[in-house]
Amino acid sequence: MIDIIRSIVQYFNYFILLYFLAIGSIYILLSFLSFYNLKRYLNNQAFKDLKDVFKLKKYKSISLIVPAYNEEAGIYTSILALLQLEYPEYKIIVVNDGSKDQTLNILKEKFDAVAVPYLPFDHIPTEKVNAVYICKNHKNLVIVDKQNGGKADAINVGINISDGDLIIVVDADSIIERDSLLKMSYPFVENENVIAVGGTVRIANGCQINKGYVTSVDLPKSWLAKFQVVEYIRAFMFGRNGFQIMDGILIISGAFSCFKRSELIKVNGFLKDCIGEDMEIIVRMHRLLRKENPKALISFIPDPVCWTEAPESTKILSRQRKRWQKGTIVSLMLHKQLLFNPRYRLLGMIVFPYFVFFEMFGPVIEAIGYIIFFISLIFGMVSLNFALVLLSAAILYGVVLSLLSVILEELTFRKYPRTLYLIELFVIAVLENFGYRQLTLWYRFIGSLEYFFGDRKWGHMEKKGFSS
Amino acid sequence: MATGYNFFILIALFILLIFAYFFMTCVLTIRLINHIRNKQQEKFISKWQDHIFGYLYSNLNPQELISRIPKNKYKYLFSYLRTFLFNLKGDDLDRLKQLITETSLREYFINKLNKHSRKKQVEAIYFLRFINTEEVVDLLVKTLKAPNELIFRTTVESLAYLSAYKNINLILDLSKKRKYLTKESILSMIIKFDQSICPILTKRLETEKSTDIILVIITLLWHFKYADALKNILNILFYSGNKDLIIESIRYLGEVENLDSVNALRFFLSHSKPEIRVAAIQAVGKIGDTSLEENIIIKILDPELEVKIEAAKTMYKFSNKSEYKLLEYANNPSGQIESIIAKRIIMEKRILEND
Repeated sequence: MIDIIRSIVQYFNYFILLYFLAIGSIYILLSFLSFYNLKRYLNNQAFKDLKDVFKLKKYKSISLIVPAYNEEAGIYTSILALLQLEYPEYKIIVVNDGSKDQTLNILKEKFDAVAVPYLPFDHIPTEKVNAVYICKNHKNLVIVDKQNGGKADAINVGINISDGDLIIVVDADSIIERDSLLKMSYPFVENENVIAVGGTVRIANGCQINKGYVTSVDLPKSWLAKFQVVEYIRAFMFGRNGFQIMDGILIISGAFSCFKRSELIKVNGFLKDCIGEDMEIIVRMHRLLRKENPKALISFIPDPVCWTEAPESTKILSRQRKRWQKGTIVSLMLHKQLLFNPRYRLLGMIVFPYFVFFEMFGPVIEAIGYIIFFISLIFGMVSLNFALVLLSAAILYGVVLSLLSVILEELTFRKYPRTLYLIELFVIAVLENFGYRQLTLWYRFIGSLEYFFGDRKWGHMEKKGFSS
Repeated sequence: MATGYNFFILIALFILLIFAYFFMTCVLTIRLINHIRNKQQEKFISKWQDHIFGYLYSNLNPQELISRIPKNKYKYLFSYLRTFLFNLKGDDLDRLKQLITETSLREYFINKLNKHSRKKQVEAIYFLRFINTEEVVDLLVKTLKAPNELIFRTTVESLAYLSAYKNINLILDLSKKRKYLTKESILSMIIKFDQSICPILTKRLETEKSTDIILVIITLLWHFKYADALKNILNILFYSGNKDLIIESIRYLGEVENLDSVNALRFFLSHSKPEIRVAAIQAVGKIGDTSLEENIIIKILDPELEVKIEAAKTMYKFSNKSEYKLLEYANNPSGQIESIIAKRIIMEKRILEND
């Protein structure tokens, strides 16, 4: 019996070893693809003038939807900043999702809002709209007050009310670069098959912010936020850039995303009460719209266009990561038809399976792997030397990948101008492998367990807000 | 586990360490190179800025200035020139262009066209757009055949800048053959030409088979408000069953006020597809022909909400009668949808007009 257990454990250890090798190799491959994609993107940008879009009247009108729930602390500054974006024709639709604080009153008062009759567009069914306001001092600002129904429902109300060719969804507490609308809309101007575009999100903690804009990029003081800086660089530089080459963008950050309005209506908008609605909509768009138009494309621009606040406490980080993990599982389970489906080409045959095996089951496999590995170490099933060497290799692999992403950042956007920051990024890239990665893995593991054993709640995200 | 694995993993560990060290060195080297480059650029500007500005406002021979600048500083010169070539206008721009057109830089760029590096080729194509000679146009036309997307796109833009409109048919033919080019990307290149292309495009409408290219052409004709294409557009409008073509053609009609276009719009206001009715109402609003007043007023009773709203928007200030009718709907206390729409449109327009 003991022999059987011993051999099972050993085979499982081999499996874990193979798993780590596979995931590491995929990351290395993704890094090469990302490098190619970034080079291509930057070469294309070198002789392009985004403001051509203005001159030639070929721009797409944009409706910027800002779902807001209990955002009284920063809503005024955020909307003021959004009103100053560079774009010829855009409308901001702030959807107050039944906030319990003063969000609506602040908006009404500060922007001189006047109630107008609500035109009952019902492209997508939503919770009841209480009132619609337009603003005397800002022609392109519309405020909508509705009954609470969650973020997805608030966005859907915005879609119903909007009339732009493009819809951009932006979190009320995100900080948007001034030319981000131009950058996000350009792929649609160049290719009618583009149905959605995502941009790179960066961590704003520690940065200097003035009147709703990032004026100086600095690293955060909190170590937890510092780790997330490297983590975000890695996720956006590697993951999304690499998958872009395979037409396999499966997730666009909910903090800032752009869609063709007509296509959003076709898929019936965002899924209400869904955890991770930002990923779900993208997977659904792939599934439904690529059936109709195989050339339909979800694109990604590597330019950092949006800055967001990262959690600085483990309590909030754990909620966030559990929610993300649950969101990933929901999105993949709801659209499992994509798995190994040749109709969706590389997306169905490579990207979706990658997400299922490494993103959905990954935390469970890795966590069990760690546990069994330590058990087998305790019971002498593997030698201490072997264990130490294997652990060092796994950690060093992580270090190499993080360093690679810092290289890509340095080769492309160089958002962290001070050399001291660069050295600090190196240190973070090394240190995050000793504890931080394992911590987020643990949260994701718990998130998976919670999902499969019943708790599928959203989890509340507390944010400190940015001081200007 | 066997010790062989330990050895294997130790080797892997060693390789990874080397990689980590290598990557860190790479990043620091890149940072250093960029730092040096920026410093060189700053040095170049501080040294040459006054000379270049002095040249702009003097009679200095452009070749004299160029010959003073060492060749290894050209990349800084080009990046500096690009900013000004984009922002300057009038005589200043012409004088700046002479630095490219009347100096050895001209040969320099022509030679660069044959380089293997795509980046250098693209740079050369970009700067050649400032040299308006037959030789350059011919060279650029030859470059159009290059398979690379970026080279093709930059070449078309340079030809547009040079107003080489006679090549428009060739550009469209080549665009059709390139799988990576979509309707929107073709449009975004060709729209950089001026309206001299319109007669050629109008002629092409008679024979063109590709729906995408027809759509591109109609959009361009709309963009340039080219009235002489009306007959061809009406032909497409009445003989094409394609919804996109119909909508694009109707949009064109909104820019060309003519009895034929008014009659066509009257017909399409009653089309079975709501998107087409919306487009027709918008076009009527644009040309503002009051003979269609009744046709617009009745559209507020259309079964589709989008059509009703578009009709209400157009009724506002379209004519006295239509505005009066809109007010009548707004004052109707019945709570009918037409009344809500009318109230909303009037309020919105008045609030925004008072702003």
